[in-house]
Amino acid sequence: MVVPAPAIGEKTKEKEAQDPGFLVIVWNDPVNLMDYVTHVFMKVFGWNKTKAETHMLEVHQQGKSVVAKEGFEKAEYYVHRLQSYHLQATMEKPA
Amino acid sequence: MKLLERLGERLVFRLSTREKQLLERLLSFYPLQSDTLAKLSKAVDSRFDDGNQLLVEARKEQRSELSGWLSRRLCEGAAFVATGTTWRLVLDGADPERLLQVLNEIRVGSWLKLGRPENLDAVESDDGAMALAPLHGLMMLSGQFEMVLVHAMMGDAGSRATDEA
Repeated sequence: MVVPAPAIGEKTKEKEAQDPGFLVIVWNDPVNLMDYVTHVFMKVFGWNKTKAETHMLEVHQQGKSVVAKEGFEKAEYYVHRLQSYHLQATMEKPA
Repeated sequence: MKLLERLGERLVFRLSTREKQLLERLLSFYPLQSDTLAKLSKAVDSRFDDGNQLLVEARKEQRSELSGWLSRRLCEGAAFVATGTTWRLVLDGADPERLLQVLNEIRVGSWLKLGRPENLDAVESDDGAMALAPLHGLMMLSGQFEMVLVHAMMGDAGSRATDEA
């Protein structure tokens, strides 16, 4: 039996299709230290060390990591917080 | 600089007189950064104009606040306690986070002034590096203090290599 997805999920999908929001991206740089970046992720997003290290390594190895997907204001807030720690963070529309 | 005690948010470090002098000298270079990083997005979009301006103002406000904290808390010696031939640095509440932000701005600011080199070690070996040596020294020294502080804040006394991300 196929259970239909809850209506709220459909609404969310509809909303996302209209406004996909912004990706908050942290870009690699050669100056911010790995453990420092992990610490910042834990502080800003409240992540545990494992999750923070996973994203830090993604930045380090792949050049960037998407750390959040949010509406304009929340994405702007995260960019402010991350840049206050001198990480290269921006908010971008999904491709 | 070594962590002596960690009780909740309170961190106590032991520093030699030389380390204390180095840290104070290092902190005297704050603020060092330009606002070249302060952009909300790589995309060119007028929706970001106000936000970009706000971001620049937020960074100025942060620097002003941190400068005030530095002069009150560290540069006037309030956080240092003499213990015989060594010193204790007592950081409590938001102090460790603030010190970390100050140290990292000195590190990133030095890197920007060095021309954003991709290979930090190459700066050292470059023939024309003499003039850049003070900035390179600031960058490396702030990184060393940063690592001690980050590991203390994470409750991780082990010091991993100071690789870059």
